[in-house]
Amino acid sequence: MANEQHNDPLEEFFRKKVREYDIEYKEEDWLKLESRLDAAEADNKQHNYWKRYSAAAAIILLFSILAYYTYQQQQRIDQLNERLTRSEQVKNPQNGPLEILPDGLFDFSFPNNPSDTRSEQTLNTKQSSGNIAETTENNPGNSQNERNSNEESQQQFSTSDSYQQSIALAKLSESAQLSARDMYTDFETSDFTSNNLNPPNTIDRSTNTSYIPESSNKFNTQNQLPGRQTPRLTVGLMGGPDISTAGGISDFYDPGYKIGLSVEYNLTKNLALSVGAIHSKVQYTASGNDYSPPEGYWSYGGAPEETIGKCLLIDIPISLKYNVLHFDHSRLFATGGFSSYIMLNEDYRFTYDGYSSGQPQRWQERTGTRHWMSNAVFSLGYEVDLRKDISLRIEPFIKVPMQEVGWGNVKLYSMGSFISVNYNIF
Amino acid sequence: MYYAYGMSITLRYADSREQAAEVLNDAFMKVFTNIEKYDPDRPFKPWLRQIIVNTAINQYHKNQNKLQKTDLESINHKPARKQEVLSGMSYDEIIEMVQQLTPAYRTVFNLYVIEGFKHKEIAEMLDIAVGTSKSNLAKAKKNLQSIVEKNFI
Repeated sequence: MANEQHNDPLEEFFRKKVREYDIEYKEEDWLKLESRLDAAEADNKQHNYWKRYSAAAAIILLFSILAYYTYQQQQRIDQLNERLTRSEQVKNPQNGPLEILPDGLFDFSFPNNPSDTRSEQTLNTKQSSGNIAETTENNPGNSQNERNSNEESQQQFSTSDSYQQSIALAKLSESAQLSARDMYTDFETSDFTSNNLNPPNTIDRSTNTSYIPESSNKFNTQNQLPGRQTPRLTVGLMGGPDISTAGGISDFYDPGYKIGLSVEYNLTKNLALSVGAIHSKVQYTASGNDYSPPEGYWSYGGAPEETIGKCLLIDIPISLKYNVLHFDHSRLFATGGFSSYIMLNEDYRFTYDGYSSGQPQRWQERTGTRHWMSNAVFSLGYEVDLRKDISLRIEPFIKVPMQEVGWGNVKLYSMGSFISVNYNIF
Repeated sequence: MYYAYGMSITLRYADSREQAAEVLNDAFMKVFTNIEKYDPDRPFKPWLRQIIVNTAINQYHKNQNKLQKTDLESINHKPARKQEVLSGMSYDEIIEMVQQLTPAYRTVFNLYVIEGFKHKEIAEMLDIAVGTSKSNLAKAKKNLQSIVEKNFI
């Protein structure tokens, strides 16, 4: 308070008079306050429940999606492996023609004994015969047996007097081709239409001879689909909201934003090094304990109860990105790294529960201070290919403080989600 | 106990008793929700008073754009005299006079005359220039004199 002497009679008069208060109590004032207190308590409970349930729901959702995609991917891998095993068996010279079991399914077991009585009941498709003929090109030692087998089969069906058998043969052949093409599409993720189905007698052997063995070689357990060529260098335009807080993950203030550019260099098919420059507006609240300006600043009147910080800064993240799961035209990735902050402008407003004279209300300055590797960055994202060279990413992130930043030396937690458009330069 | 004390403060900053009760309730809400920050080793009343004054100032900032100035300078001035008239005024009359001031004048008058802040501190609190604080105080006192002369002399 001021120590100035107020000698004005009018001032003296008012100072004296206002001390002589005799104010009648009104019940309605207390009732209003009571209802506000009840509402505040209910809101507080609801807010806490909402925060807890939201966090729990987000975590459950995240893990459910991950589990689902992992399961789905694993199933596809198993299916592909199974089909590959079968196709390898098709190539085997010891294999006999496919059998149809009573339930209409293929029997992929190939009897070693060509004189097996069941072989008489076997329906050999042109597709399968084609495949066998093709594979014999790679197995010249067995070609004669295969040719003989094919000729016998063709003879068997060409002399067939059953029209129904021919129909069944055609359907079976188409099914076999579908099965083979299905494998192909799984590997190559190419467009599949019914128009691409060749009738049994128009199979392009040169194509068939190449894709099954080649595909089987391309497939690997790293989940990398060969349909998308891995770019070496990618640039991205990113933006999104930023929610920051100081001292702990709570008491958020109004959201800020992040907008910037990133450059990504792919070290391997799944691993990339990413660097960015992101202009950020960070807004947060900090309690008295979480805000530490230069020593001595609070000496006059004590620390404020709350500080509201509004800072502009350049966020320079350096991170490693790893593609966790691949899908047909999209992928799930995770990143980890560090962020460095260059403070452009810092603006802090201080709130006191009890204001005393001399206590500062605001501090604002263009500081330009640098805080290298001040925050650890983690994110989990989803990338969708819009075109061969352009992709869209959604990347929720969290930045955890490793050092105190800014004039107030706060431990700044940030979270949000980047939405970015990325262009593969080459 | 603290109701009357709180109202004695908020009445000076508010336009009406209803508004004063609202500001006081806001202040009590802050007290209840931040009671863990109170240091029991220190007296409660000054802490409460500071919260109430701060709440009143916050209310002033919130209403700053809504408020309409009342030009009391057109009131015919009569020479200030008869101290006995002033001394005979009741507390309610005093509060009524203060409430007739514009919020800007009233707030500066309260902070400077009653609470004892310096102009520099008031300027920081209200986000105004020091000169504006001095000017508002002078005009507040002038208007109060005018009100006294108009109504009581």
